[in-house]
Amino acid sequence: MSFMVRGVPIAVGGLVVVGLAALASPTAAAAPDPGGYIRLAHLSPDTPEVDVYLTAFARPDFKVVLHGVGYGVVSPYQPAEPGRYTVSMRLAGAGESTPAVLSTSVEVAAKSSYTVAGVGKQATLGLRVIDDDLTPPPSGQAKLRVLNASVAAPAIDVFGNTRTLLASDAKFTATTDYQAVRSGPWQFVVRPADGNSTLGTDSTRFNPGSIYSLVVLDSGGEVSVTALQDAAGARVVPAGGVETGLGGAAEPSSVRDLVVPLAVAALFALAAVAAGGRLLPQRHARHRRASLRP
Amino acid sequence: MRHADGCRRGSRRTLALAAAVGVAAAVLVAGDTGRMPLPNTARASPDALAPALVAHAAGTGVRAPAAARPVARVVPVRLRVPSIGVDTRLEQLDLGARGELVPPSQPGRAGWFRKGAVPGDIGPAVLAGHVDSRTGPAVFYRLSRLAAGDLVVVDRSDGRSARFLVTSVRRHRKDAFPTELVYGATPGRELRLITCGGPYRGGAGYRDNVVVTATLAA
Repeated sequence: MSFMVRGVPIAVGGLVVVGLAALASPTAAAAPDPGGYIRLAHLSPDTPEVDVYLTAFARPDFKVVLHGVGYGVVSPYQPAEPGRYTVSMRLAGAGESTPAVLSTSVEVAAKSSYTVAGVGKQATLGLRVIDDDLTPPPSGQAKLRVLNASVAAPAIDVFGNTRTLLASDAKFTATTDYQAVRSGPWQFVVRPADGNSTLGTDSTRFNPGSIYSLVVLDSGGEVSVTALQDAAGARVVPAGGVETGLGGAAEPSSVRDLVVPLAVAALFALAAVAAGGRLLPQRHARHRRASLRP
Repeated sequence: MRHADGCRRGSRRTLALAAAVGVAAAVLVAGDTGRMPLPNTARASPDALAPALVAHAAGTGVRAPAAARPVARVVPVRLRVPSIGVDTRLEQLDLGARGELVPPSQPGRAGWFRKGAVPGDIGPAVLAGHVDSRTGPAVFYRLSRLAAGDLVVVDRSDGRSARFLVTSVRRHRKDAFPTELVYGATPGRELRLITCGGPYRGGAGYRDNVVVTATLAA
């Protein structure tokens, strides 16, 4: 069973970005870091533990295996060179040679990150490639989205700090878009979309400049909300560059500054000499003619 | 030359990935006894660090363990870049009146931007240092000579060291400073080293900034 794989457009976008970066910096001294990131998640409540394999199309020597991954586990990000990868799942302990229960491919682009999650109930289990957004939030704010991996209700609402609606009518396996929120402490309440009962509550603190995924999970009869940090940036972003030089070891300005003027002067001198070389005999000739005329 | 570089990067990447796999596997296996809740992998960011973040207390014998100072925020205290002979204590850097990053107060010492990530934690940690003083070379004089794959070590106040590998060395005009590259959000544990470069224009200072990017070694 396959879910959406939005690899190709992403890859194209990544190439464009790299191209622009190369253009913008003609003074590059080394290749830019082309890395992307992948993390793997088990978000299927009734599926037993699995072994997850991450392999690269172009690199037979590349293999990441996560053993005994249970519901609710999200791996740390794995750095990955741009290219096409395969993610496959087998029941925990099944040999590597046995057929995978599920597999999908993901195209990793430069400076992009992805969550590859086992989603749905076991009967309809699929692997979904979810794009993780690295675009910074507005200054001073954080950014978040909600992933609903709970089957406690057909659809849920997630409220933040009592008033802010973070997810609305989110069905099982739904992923909301990212939204900017204020940084600082947050409390969450999860309710069924069609009722006022409380399925679960949770709290966390968001750092300014950071990006989060809130994962809603079934947890012992209740519903929990866990904040995964998708990415972190500076809490405050300084303006412009840094003045980290006072010139004491700059290439001697006496030489640097004089090279061009000296070269120009030399050219003029050469031109004058050449011109003079042609003009002088003519002038002499005129003089001679003039002196001969009378 | 380029090909050799590519190979070198590739093999380092492979090693890094292999080690990262080990860590991830270990983390996940550790949770095998019961269902591992998300917070253990997602929230414990400093503790879920790759082995690149290792205790350095053994070497110096002076660092108090983190448990002894539970209130103090972890900060980086020392930077070592063996390939260019850098070994400096770190001061803390803040913003100036115009919102700019204020450079270190001493030419011989690098500084850490305290409103960015702590080196070894998720996000880009930013260290800046002078390329020169009024009279001669300063702490980051040879920064532009770094190459992809070079090692950068940052010691932290919690007695651990974060080990990074250089991924890029680039020069940018200050009037086109790559703000997002330096300060923007990253999923990984990254490091930026910044100094000046390019032509020196007297009172206007250096035209460019040299920006080194690095990622935590596995």
